[in-house]
Amino acid sequence: MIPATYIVTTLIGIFLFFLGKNRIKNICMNENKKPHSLNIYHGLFPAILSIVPPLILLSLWIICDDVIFDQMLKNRLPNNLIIEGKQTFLILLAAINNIADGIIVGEPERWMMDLAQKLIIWRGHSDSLISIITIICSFAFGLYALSFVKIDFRARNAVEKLIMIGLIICSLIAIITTIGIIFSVIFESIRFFKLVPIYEFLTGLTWNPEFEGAARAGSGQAGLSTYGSIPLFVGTFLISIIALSVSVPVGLLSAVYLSEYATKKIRGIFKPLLEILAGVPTVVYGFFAALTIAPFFRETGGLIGLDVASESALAAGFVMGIMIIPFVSSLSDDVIRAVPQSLRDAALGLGSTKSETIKKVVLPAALPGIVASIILAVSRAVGETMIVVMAAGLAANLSLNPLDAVTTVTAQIVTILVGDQEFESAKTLSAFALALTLIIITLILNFFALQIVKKYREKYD
Amino acid sequence: MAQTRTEKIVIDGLKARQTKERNFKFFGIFAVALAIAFLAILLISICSKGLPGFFQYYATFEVELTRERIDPRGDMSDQSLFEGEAKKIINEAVLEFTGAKKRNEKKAARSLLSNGSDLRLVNFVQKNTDKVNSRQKIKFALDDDADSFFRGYIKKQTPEKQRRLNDIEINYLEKMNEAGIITYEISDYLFFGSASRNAEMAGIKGAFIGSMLTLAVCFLIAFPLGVATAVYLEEFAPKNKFTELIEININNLAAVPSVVFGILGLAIFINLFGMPRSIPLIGGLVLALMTLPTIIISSRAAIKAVPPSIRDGALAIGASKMQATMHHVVPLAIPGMLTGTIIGMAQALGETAPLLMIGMVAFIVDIPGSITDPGTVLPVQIFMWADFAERMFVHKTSAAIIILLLFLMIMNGGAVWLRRKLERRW
Amino acid sequence: MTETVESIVNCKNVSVYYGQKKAINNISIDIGRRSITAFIGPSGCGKSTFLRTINRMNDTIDSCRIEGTVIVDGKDIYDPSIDVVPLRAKVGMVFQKPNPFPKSIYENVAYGPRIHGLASNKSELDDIVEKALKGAGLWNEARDRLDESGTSLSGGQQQRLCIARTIAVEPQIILMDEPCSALDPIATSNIEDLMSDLAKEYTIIIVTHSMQQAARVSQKTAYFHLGNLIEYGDTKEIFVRPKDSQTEAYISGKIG
Ligand SMILES: Nc1ncnc2c1ncn2[C@@H]1O[C@H](COP(=O)(O)OP(=O)(O)OP(=O)(O)O)[C@@H](O)[C@H]1O
Ligand SMILES: [Mg+2]
Repeated sequence: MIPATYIVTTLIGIFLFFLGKNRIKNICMNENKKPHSLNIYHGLFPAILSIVPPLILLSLWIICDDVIFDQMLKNRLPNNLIIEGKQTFLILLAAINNIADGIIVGEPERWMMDLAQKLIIWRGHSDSLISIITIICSFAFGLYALSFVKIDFRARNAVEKLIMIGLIICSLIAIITTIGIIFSVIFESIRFFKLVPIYEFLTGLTWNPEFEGAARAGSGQAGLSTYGSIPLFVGTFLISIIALSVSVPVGLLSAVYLSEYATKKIRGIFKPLLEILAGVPTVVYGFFAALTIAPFFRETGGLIGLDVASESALAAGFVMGIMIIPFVSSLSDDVIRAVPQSLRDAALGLGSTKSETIKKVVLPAALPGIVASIILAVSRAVGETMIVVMAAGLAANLSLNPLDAVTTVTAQIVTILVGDQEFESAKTLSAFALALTLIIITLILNFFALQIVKKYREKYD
Repeated sequence: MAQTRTEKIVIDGLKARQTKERNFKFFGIFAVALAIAFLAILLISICSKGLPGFFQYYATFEVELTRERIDPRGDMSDQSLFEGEAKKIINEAVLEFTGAKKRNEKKAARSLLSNGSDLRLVNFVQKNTDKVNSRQKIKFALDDDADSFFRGYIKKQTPEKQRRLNDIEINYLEKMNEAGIITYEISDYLFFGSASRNAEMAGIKGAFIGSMLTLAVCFLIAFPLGVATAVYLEEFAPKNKFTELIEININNLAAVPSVVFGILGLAIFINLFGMPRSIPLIGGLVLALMTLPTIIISSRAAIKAVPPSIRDGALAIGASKMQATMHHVVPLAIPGMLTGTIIGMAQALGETAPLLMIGMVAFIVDIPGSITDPGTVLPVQIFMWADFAERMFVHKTSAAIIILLLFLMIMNGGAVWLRRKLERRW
Repeated sequence: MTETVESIVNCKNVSVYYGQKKAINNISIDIGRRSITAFIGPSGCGKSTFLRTINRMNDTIDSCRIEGTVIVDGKDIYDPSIDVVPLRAKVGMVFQKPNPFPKSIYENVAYGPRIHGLASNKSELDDIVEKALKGAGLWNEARDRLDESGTSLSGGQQQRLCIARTIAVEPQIILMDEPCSALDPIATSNIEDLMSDLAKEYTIIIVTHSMQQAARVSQKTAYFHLGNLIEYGDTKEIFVRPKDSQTEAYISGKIG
């Protein structure tokens, strides 16, 4: 039914297109005048109006109807049913929906079958209703638009205005997404901070969300789980530091070599090669870290008498460092090349060696840009997830020893939110609080990096 | 020609400075070499593990395809074949070959072939109905432990207690090998199999199709949106606080870690809108939002690169701003926009974290047929397989990684090619 | 030609190529010690290129190739055993656009002495900086703002800072590539005065587009055209009685 509606609406649009075009043609013939706009615009105007708004309406309806049905089902649940929390309700809903879809597991209760039956009927009604509405709207809008088609109608301007509206709406998506992210995260975080004091979250030294109790959420008793996020931030910090101590020296020196010493040909070969490192999916790095690097570190550590955990911060950080080498080298390379040649000439003209020129003149001049590239690398490292999940482990140890297993903010977010979860529980909500802090950290880093780059650009442009 | 003071000092200090210069240059070369070495180690380690993953061991047995036993209902339907005795027929063939008599011998003989062998037989019958009621040679995959034996991971010398195959099983395997029925071939399961807990049957087909569906959704949403936004911002938007706000938003979105987009998908699409989990539609939506900034930024660059003379030329002959943009600027900028989009799609193809959160990590055997069927994607499949310790899973995971990397290489190569082509134009 | 002046730069059959393109065609020239020599000629004729061969600044351009011999102070500077560092310490260069480092005025001047290790302690370095700034006629303006950024000075001051930076190393030759082209007449005349002062100690070679400047400051003038050295001789001679018709045309403003 719904696909048919999409097709019918489109056909109506095409029909109106020709109607509009012919109409203006006829009017022109009769009045023997030239229209303001090309014929095609007189066709497009009704066509766009008859297709786009009704189809948007239809699509929105399809997305929203489930929510409405859920609400209607909720009102019709048997009164004697004891609903514990939102979770059981969700399970019930899912079961009813499944029955309606024809997936019947075991012997559902009678009332569930009835409700499923109702649901099927509602769905049918809803589909027919929205199909009729869509088609009527399509006709109505199209015919209304058609009534504008006259000799002096500025059809082109009208069509252009419609396109412009479309463009503006598209560009609003970025804002809507941001608002969506911010709201969904802030909203749930606030709920979390109602259950766990923000003070405890920010200063607590143990992270242990495992023993979730309705205890804590419900009766207000001190639960068994603790939500002190310090170990996660320390873990994130530790791994980022390790990653940076690999990527900054390697990335920066590579950038210097490729931009100052290498011939054009060498540069043309090695720069793209380095950038491959950034194109490899993080899950591949995670696999590499867990299967190749971590055992290697453990064995090497064993040889020299060090006890390296099988999932160590060192392995994860090291591999992450490899991954962000190109982030450091690419941007550094750009800023190093942006240093005016005249400064190099000046230093060389005084008899500096190339390395003296680089160390004393080029790098100091490029410093702000290099700092910005490092900040962006930090923000990459802080937000990186898969490598940590696969290679650093999930143990929330409060440790600064790179040989220990640690966990990070992102790894915890993923572990908490993978699989089914109760949206009410403090454990689930804690992931949103973590995400909020993560967003704040990366946005601040990004802000500073952009600010520095901007200042830097102003200086040399 | 007397040396001046400067000359003397400079020449005296020259050696040390030349050494420093050489060292510095060496450090630079060393850094580049190190980075390249990392890349090489990564690729070599993946390839050395992955190439064997493209192959596996098969054993060919002759089986009697009796109609009544295979197809009790006689209508060749799935149900009928499922009720048939495929498994028994295979076991009989194996027992006959090995000559197993005692209980433990029979058990050993039966454990050597893959669990999915009966399905293989059924598929064979479905494809070759004319071969029913005859003896046919059919190739069955070995169980992963047996496979490991031929790969040399399980050694006969190891005490029996410490290996996953007992003496009888090894005996039988050697017997098969001597009879020449063991073959090492391209693994059809890898390409045509789906998610499975049995290493020898596991394959990427489901994940691959899931990836394609997800990517299709992602492209269909992100490309038009991204291009439209770029066109608006670059060509029409007035320079005011509002457009500034949009630009700030786009820059910030580009900086947000990918997990956060997963959270968005979970909170908005699944929790708020009540959409189902694990479906490529939501995966595509989430990835589209994630790649949007990349596409917008590169599309704007592509539009900027169109020489103003072309726009002015169109305006000068009386085209409206919209016509100049749509007829002249956008078509010229399309290759550049596509380049950025391909890079964004490559990013999306390799992305894992946000998809874990919207449930694409579920164990789904069925191959998704549409964007609303539950499914998974290649990187997530790799993530799930990476957790399994079996040697064969390590190989298959690496093989899947190689396939993923190949796709990424093709996409990025395409982007580079497009860019080259574009550069030649003006 | 006056034979009284001992020459410090001797070029023999020098040709310079950028890739396939020949920018300097077989030039031979001797330049006298402690004098000012001006290179003139129309734009693109190779003056800068030739100037930069004298301290091997062309080495920084990958495509650039040099034939012939350039002898500075008795040494063939393109000999493989020669290091450019002492050469450039001996042959300093001032560029067309003032290019102070984005560092303090003091650091700008101290840069050369520091890298070459010319001062063994801070007070010696202070002395060198002061002497160089005085030599460049910038001391009075800059003495109170030594810690300010070199880029905060005016264009003329910046160019004098660059000259101070060059003479702080105490080179023997200073190459100047249109040092006044970015400056107003007053700053220009300051620099011209400075050059005349400097010529007592240093050998100066200056590229200029201003005939008057060449006439005012230089003892000898070389006229270049399309990579060829057309005429070289005493400035007075050249400006009053050019031997070559092309030179005459250029000087009288018919080409260029
Ligand atoms: N880096 C380079 N690569 C290739 N060719 C160059 C390069 N620098 C200069 N040339 C060419 O060499 C020739 C001489 O250039 P040069 O800069 O020496 O001229 P000039 O006499 O200094 O001109 P102007 O008075 O404009 O400064 C010119 O034709 C120029 O195009
Ligand atoms: Mg020049």
